[in-house]
Order: sequence, then structure tokens, then C-alpha cells
Amino acid sequence: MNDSSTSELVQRSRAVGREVRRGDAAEKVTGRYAYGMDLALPGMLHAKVLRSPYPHARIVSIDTSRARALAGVRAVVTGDELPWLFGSALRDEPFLARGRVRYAGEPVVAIAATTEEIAREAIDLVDVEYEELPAVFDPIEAMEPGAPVLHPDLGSYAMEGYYGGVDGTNIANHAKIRRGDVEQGFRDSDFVFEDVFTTQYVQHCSMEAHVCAAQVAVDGSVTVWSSCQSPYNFVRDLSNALGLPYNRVRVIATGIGGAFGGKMYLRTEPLTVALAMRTQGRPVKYAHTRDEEFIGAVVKHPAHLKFKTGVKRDGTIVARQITSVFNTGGYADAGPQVARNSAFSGTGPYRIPNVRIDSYCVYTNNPIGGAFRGFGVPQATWAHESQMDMIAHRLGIDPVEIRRRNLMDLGDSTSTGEVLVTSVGVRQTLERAIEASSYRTPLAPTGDPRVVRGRGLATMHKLTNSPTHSTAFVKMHQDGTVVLLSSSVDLGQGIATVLRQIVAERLGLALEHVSIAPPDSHYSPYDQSTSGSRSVFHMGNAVLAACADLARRLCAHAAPLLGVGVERVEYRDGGVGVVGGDRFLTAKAIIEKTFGTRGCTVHGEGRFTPPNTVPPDKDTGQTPKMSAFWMYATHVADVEVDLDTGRVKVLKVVAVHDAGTIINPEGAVGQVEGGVVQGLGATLCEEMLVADGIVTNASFAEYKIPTSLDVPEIVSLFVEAPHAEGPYGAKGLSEPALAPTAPAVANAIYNATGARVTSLPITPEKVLAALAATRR
Amino acid sequence: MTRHLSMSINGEPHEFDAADHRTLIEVLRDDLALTGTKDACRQGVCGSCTVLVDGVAVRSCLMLAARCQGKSVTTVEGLAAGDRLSALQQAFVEAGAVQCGYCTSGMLIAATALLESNPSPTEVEVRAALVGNLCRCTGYAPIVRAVLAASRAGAGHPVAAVGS
Amino acid sequence: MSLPRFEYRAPGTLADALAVRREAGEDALVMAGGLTTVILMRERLARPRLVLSLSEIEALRRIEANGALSIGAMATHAEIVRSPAVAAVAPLIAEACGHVGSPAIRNMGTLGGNVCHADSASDPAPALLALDAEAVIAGPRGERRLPMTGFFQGTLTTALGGDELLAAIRIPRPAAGTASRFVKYTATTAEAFATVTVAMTVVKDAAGACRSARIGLGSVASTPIRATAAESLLAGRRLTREAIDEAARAAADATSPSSNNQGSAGYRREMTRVWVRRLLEDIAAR
Repeated sequence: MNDSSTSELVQRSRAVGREVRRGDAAEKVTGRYAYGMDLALPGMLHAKVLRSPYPHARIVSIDTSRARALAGVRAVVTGDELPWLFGSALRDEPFLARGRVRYAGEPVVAIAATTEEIAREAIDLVDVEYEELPAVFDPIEAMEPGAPVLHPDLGSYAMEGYYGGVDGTNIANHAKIRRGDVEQGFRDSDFVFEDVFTTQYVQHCSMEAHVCAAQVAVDGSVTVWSSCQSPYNFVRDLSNALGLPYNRVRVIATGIGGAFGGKMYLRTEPLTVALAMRTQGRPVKYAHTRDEEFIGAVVKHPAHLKFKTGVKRDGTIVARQITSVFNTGGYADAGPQVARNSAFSGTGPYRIPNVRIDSYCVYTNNPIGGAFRGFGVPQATWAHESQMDMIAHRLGIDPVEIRRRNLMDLGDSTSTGEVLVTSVGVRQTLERAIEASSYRTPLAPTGDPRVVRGRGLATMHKLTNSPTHSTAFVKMHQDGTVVLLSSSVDLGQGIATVLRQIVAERLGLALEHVSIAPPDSHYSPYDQSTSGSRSVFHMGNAVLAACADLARRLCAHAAPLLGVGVERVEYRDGGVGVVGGDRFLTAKAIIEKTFGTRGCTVHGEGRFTPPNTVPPDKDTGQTPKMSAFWMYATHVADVEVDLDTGRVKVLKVVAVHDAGTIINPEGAVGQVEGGVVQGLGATLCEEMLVADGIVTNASFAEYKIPTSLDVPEIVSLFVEAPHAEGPYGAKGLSEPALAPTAPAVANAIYNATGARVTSLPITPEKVLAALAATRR
Repeated sequence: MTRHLSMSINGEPHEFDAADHRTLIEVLRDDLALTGTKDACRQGVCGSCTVLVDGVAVRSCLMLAARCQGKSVTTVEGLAAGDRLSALQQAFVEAGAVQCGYCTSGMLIAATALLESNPSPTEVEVRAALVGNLCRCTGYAPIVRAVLAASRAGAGHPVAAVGS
Repeated sequence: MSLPRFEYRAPGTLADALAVRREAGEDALVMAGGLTTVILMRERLARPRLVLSLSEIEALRRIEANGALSIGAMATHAEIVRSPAVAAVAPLIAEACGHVGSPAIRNMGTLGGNVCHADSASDPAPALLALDAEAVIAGPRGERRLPMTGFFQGTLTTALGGDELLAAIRIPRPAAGTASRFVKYTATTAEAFATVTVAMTVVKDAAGACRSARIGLGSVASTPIRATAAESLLAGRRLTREAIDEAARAAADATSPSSNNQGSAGYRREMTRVWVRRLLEDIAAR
């Protein structure tokens, strides 16, 4: 498992694996860092949006005449004027509602004015007449024949190759995994258990709401500034929607105040571009208010997960069948990808020879489900880790032992048919978590018989979407310092610093001699997106390749200066030297001797595509290599349960992760601590309540995320199973950090009380109900 | 109605006209380009827009600018002495207390107010002082560590190590 | 999002403020700390022509204890928490004000502003009910006093007349031997609207029996309420397990909660029972 050359590299390193402070921290603590929300462009107009109050309705008429007449209003636009559809997996969403609204909160009219205040006033002057249509809110009902069909045109939408809706239904995508013979597997089992688990709506609650600005040139070229995770997703989806060549859509990623998956695809941008087409070149800015974040951005999909698992008496899992339904709301957004990705983690990190998974992404008249840190995997983890404990208890087996018996190791196959050949640290995460949590030492009682304590654990695995591509440019100035151009966006996770560390390490430069340019699709080269915990691995490798390319060019320039053939020189220590000799030229000397002291730059470019990954077969989900890497984690939670109120207090979480080699320890701990707390929010206190399509708690006053007083002690540890293809052995980290938390807490509650809660969030009321059920 | 207001902002006298319905956050961000004060909920819940008015931490989104007539306002831009960071700002940098940074301004102001009134807070007192400042990235632990570290640096009193 | 336009007036005396209120009538919105009022305007739930701010009336900020405790309507929660006079006479109200929102909210919000919204979820209101507090109301015909029990009239409605202003809250000095307890129980996070708030004062005799009790409840009816049936059950009884359980059930029966993200109606009622019981048990054990 241990790759000794990688470890040595880290030990010798200047930057990788070292405690390095993030590069933007000083700007941020002084309030100088510029976020999208701070964007101010000359002549900028401000947009406001009128949203549908109904979850499903026909738009009978729209009268904007009074709004247009208001002084200061510069543009008013409605859906009828906009022929385009956008979407990432399938293009199903109009820029503004056209003839019909499919969720409460859907944008209907957009207005740009000289001030935000005038735009707001103008919105009140628009009259829209609606005729309500029969609506469907439950995704299982929405799959039944006779349910109102939200998208009669589903079959005609442009779709990305892998995805397929079922025409004439509300099924936006049906993902399948078929492995072995699940029916035979159930017959071969000693016991078959069927359990249902559910999850809730969770909003990302990025502290900075969605915000963008757009400007349109005389020739129709579009420039978009957006607080976004992926300039290139935006270029692709906007260009495809508008039918514009990609070079005429420029997307600039602004400073961003958190994303967590919520800013991965177009949301505020299409309607803002539509307004900017009507303002004679004046830029238009549109910022969500907080309540628009809840009703009109995207949310984590609520999922209904039916798990049927066949086991031997000793706990060995023989077969599993999963039917999961993801409620994606009025438009698909990332729903097809999320529901499919959830299926890939349905087995958990366990060997299961017979698997059948059907994962449905279903339209309803609810808010839009989108990407959320973990991309469907937290939902799957909630189910497989809750059921793992339930099975252990039914069989009278220790929860740790049943996992040990089934965990995957090197050489085992995933449910998608991939044989794992590198970096499988899941067993180490489990053993380390048991040790670090003193798992076998019982918790001290509280002294109050009405308040009891318990401990639970959960483990998980997650892939990253593959194959995806990253590219990078490095540019060396004549003084030997370097600027990196990359489209990875620093969402707060610290990727900009990590990439600078990699450049510094590879080129033997001081960290302060490596700068990074902001992502801009006109300058920085392609990156698929900042998502899926993919950036360190993919962009890290692309950056290494770009550095190698730069070094090669410097060698070519240096060889004649050193008077030897190019095969006899090597890049080392910030310059080029003769192999095995002392003769050496600094990069500065090479560039200035080659091009003169008036100046020139030398460049390197790099691309990374994970080798040998193949998209899964559409009908079976099988592929020889599904993912560039797999990440693993085990969490142990200690909890206290108040038997009278049902209130759960989490005392401590031990979180052990296998993210491969850790490049920035401070950043890695930050990802885990933040992820666990976000996971605890989704476990205990967060739920966006939607009643008949209407969000009833669209504010921070009523939708509660954890505060500084709600978080327990968190111990974050890394087992670092280096990945053969990772930059310095690194993999990814962000998403797993919140996935095992919820089932670890649920299992701890069971351990404390014997009560089992199978639906998230675990509210005090559900705990009381589960306690009552144990007494029946 | 528009009125002429004068107030000290980060130690400098400012005079400007503002309509009665304008809030302090709007004047700071839109009129004075002091965008370090962050706009995130406009309901006083998240704490991102916290500033000091006469040394007291308040929500600039709920504070009418007219109410600040003659008062002294401190925003995040006023914490450093030129380019020299305050002990608290430095501690935030060193403790990894900054990720996306959108809550950071409000956190710094709330923590500055805390250390002003209680130079040697316990961990629980720090957490209680920051309960109205939401952070979605860090899980709070490094922020709490930073405030305790700054308190040690500033007041010189020994403080027990933070547990989480 | 910006506020609708209005004219801002901040007179320096109560008399001037009353004059503005009389003259503007329904067109004026009275602003104390400016928390709820600003949010109401931002949400366009209020569009006043004139905002009458009481912030410049120094007399309304005064906290005094001459026999009874008098807390000016414009005293902030933070000032009440810090006040030696409050600590000496009625620490229960300081504890309750310490649970309002978060530090910056307590720096801005006032006791007067809080009670004038008659919000069921008010943190201090149940404590005021348990302390037998009175509203001191200023109007064109002078001052009148009204028990807080009568002050809260319905959802966001008080007994305050259209030409009146709340000047102060008056809290009588509790009898010797009074025990008081407060709990704000939240089902979600540490900074949230309460699922139920319980405040109580119990006067015990020398033998430890309950001479009288007052119980205030928040977040479980359309206004803050008193659990009078529970109070009657306790009066003159020893605080036995049976008496405590009966009183706790009676308190729960007095509630008429609605369901929201802080809990269903049934849960809030049950939590009322649990927390009234727990606070009484705590007092009995003392």
C-alpha cells in the first residue's frame, strides 16, 4: 500500500505537506477581498425578479406596462421573448417561465433599473394572471400513471449522452446498476432485510448568495461575471443555449463566498444575460436575496431509498437491491447526475456480489434539486450505514465486526465492476477511528437517568466523476517567478494555495514566487469544474504536467548556453544544470541570455485526463474503471439523548479520512471540521420545509444551521493511503467529510436508547416517536 | 426625506446626504465603497454585516443610517493599522479561521467587541459571543482557536487550550 | 433589499414623541430598537409614511430600583443583562433577556420593542408574566398602568392605544423566599425561536410548601400566556411529585400551540409539560 517514493518526496518537500497559510487570508481579514456581491461596474444596472407564487400554473397574461413606465427602469423581459432552453444534463429550463410555471419561485419577469430600489419598486407594478394547474409534490406519486406530467416535451429536450428521461412521464432519468443475480443472491441468503430511509431538503446556505453580472457587446458577445464554481460549465451551457460560439461567451469567476455544489450550474445568469441584451451595453447585476436562495436557487434532493439486503448468518452480504427516488422539482438541473451518482455508492464500501439498483430522478412541482457537496452519496450513505447497524443488531453481531467482514480491499470489485488496484484505505479509516475514539471504552454515564449516552460509527466511499479533464498554463517571468493560470475556483476550500504549493514544489521555487491568476474563460484554460472533490487530483496533475512542460522548454533554451546537448541537462532548483555536473544557470539567467534583458516569458502547458476510466454502460452501470480514485472515511459519534425531550447533543466526532497524501494539512483539517458540522446540520437541525410546493422557512431565522454553540469536539485524522496516479499521492477530500456523520449519529442514538430513526433530520420529535416505538 | 449626516467612520470624519430609509449597510457598501461589511441575510440573523457603533456591535442591515448621526462607526476596514493587522486579524490568518471569508468581517467585529469587554474569555464565552455569526465553511473551531489565541497575545493572560 | 421610503423622526422627549404619534396616527410606525420594524418594512409588511424613533429619548433608557424595579422601554436587552438594579430585584428578567437572539441583537433590541410586538415567541414576556409586571403607558391623558397579563391581546396585538407609547415596565419586588426559574427550550440550534419558553416564580413558606406560584409560557399560544390553572393547583400545596405532575399537565393543557419548524403542536404541548415539571422539580429540590 505505501508507496515509498511518494513518502520520500513529501519528506524532502519544500511546500507539499507543509503547514502553509492560505494566500488570500490577509485580504479577507481586512475586508479587501472582492466577492461577486461587491462587484461594481461602470454604468451598472440592478436586476430584480418577479417569481411565481404558484407551484404549477398556466400564465394567462403578463402586463408590464406600469413597470416599464417607472422612471429609472431600463429593461423588462418576460419568457415569451426568450426562445432558449438551458440545462446541464438535459436542456429543459427556460430563461424565464414560458406559458407555464413549474415551481413556486420560478422566475417570471426580470427587470433592470438604475438602482436596486427602483427595480424592486417596478416588480410591484407587474400584473400577472395565473390559472392554477393540478400539481404533484410527492415524487413517488409523480411516477404513477395519471400524475400531471410537468414536461410533455421531455423527449425533445437536448440531452447529454449518458442521461435519458422516460418520455411521457416525470422521470427525468433512470440510472441502473446490474451485477450478478440479485434474486439468486436473496435465495442464497440466510436473511433478507428490507428497510426504507428518507432524507430531507437541505439548502447550501453559502454565506454569499448567488450573484452575477452580464454585459453584451454590439456584436452579441456576452461577458458574465459570476460567483460560480465552474466558468467552463457556464461557457458551455450558455453557449449551447444561446447558440453562440464558445469564444463569444466569456465567464469570469469572481471571488466567491461559499458554494458547496450550489453554484455549479447556471441559475441567476440566463435571465441576467437576457436583460443585458436589452440595455445597450450597460452591465446588469443580479444578486439573490436570502429568501431567493431558499426558493429559487437549488437544494439538496430529498431521497426515498428502499434497501433490500440479503445476508448470511455471519453477516456476509450476499445481495442488495435498491430503489431510490430523488425529488428534483420543476427542472432537472443536476438531478440526473446526482441520482445516478448516488447509485454508484449504494453498496457502501463493501463487497457485494449481487446488486440491482434503480435510481430515479423525478420531476415534481417543488423547488429545484441540484448538486450538493457529496452529490447523492450522503443520501446513499445514510441508508447503507443505518441498515448496516440494523442488520448487525438483528443478527446479534457487533457493528464493527460486520463491517470488517464485508469491507473492500485492494483487488476487490465495486458494484460497477471496477477492480480496485490502488489506494483503498477504508479498512485503515475504520481501525484508526475505533482506536482514536476509544470505541471499546464505554462512555461515562451522565448521572441523570433521563439523559443517556451512546456511540455509533459509519463508514463510506465515494468516487469522482470520470473521466473529466483539467488543463493548466504556467508562465515564467524573466526573473524566474511564475504565474499559474487555472480555472479551478477557490470556493474557500483553499485550492489556489494547494496549486501554488504544487508549482513551488515541482519547480523548486519559494511559495511567494508563485502567483495564481483568477479563473477567466478568456485566459485560464479548461477545467471541468470545481466539484466532486476532483481539483487536487485532476488540476494538481495538470499543473505538474504544465510545470514539466515549462521545465522542458527551459532545458531547451539552456542547453546551448551550457554548451551541451539537451539530453545532458535537467531542470533543478529553479534553473537548469548539467546532469551529474555543477554547471547551472538560474531560470532568470536562461531567459535573459536567450531573449535579452528587455524581457520575455516562457510557458508550460499541461492537461490531465485520468487514465483508463470509462463511462459506465447505460443499462448495467458496469465499467472496467469507473473513477479516477475512490475516497473513504469513517466517523465515530458520541451522543447524549434527553429521553424526555428527544433532544440529541453530539459530544464528539472522530473523523478519519483516506484522501491519499495530504498536501495542505491546515486546509485538510478545515475541510473535515467544516464538513462534519455541515453534516451535523443535515443530521439534526436543517430541513427546508415545503408544504404543497411552498417553502415555509425561507430565512436564516427559521431555517437553522449550526452555530458556534452547537458543535462538538471534532478530531480529524488522516490515514493517507497514497494514490499511484495522484499528485504526490493525493486524492480528494471535501465531499466525504459530511457523508458518514448522519448515520454515525443515528447509530449512536440507537446505541444509547434502542430507538432507530430512519428519516432525516433526526428531530427531537422523531427521537421521541422512536423511543415510544421501542416500548410498544 | 434626505438629511445631511456626519459621523466618524474608522476614525475619519464623514459627511454625506442620505435618505431617511437608507440603512447603515447600504450607506457603507453602496455610497462609501466600504464593501468589507458583508451582506448576507438582511434580517440580522447571520451576523455578516456586524459593525461597531460607538464601540457596540450592531447589525448594519437593521440600523438606519439616520440613527448613526454623530456617532462613531468601525467596520472591518478599520481594524488594521494601515497594512499592519490587528492581533485578532493575525490570529485568524494563522489559525486557519478563514475559508471562503464571507463571515470573517462580522466574526472579527463580534470578536473585537468581545475582547474589548472581556480580554480573557473562556472557550464557552467565545462561542457564546459568536453565536449570532453564522459560518458555513469552518465548523467554527479554528475561529474559536483564533479568538483565544488573540486574547492570549493581546491580554497576556494564560488561557486553557481550546478542546476542539 | 432596500426599505420603502419614509420620513424619519426622532424626538428627544416623550411629550414630543406623543405629539408626533397623535398627529401622524396610522401613518406612523413606532421604532424602538429597530429590529422587527426594519424587517417588517423590508418585507413590505409595513409601509409607513413616518417612522417615529424613540431612540433619542434618554429618559426611556433608565433602569431604576426604588422599591419596585422600573425598566425604561428603550433599555436594551444587553443593558438589562448588565444592570445591577435588575440583578438585585428580578434576576429572572435579566436571564430571559440574555436569551434574546445573539449579542448584537441584544445590543440593539429593547424590552419595550420586544413586548410591543406581542410576539408569542418573546423571550422576556413569560418572565414578565411570572414576575407580575406592569406596563407603564404614556398617553395624551397622562400615564396609566396595566398588568402585562392584560397587555398582550392577540397575535401581534397589544392594549396600547393608537395615541399611546409604552414608557416603562414596572416589576414589583418579589416576596422573600421567592424562587424563580427560566428556560428557553429550542429544538434546533442554540440561536433559534423557542419551542417553548417557561418562566416561573414560586413563593415557598417556611415549611417548603408552595404559597403561590406564577408561570409564564411563551411560543405555545397566540400570545405569551400565564398557566393560571397550574398556578392554582400549586397554591398552598407541598411540591410533591404528584402535585408537580398535575401542575405540569395543567400547564400543558393551557397551551394552544401551532405547528412550525420549531415543533408540532403536540410536541410543544408535551415540552411545556416536561419543562414546567423540570423547573418545579428543581425548585422543590432546592
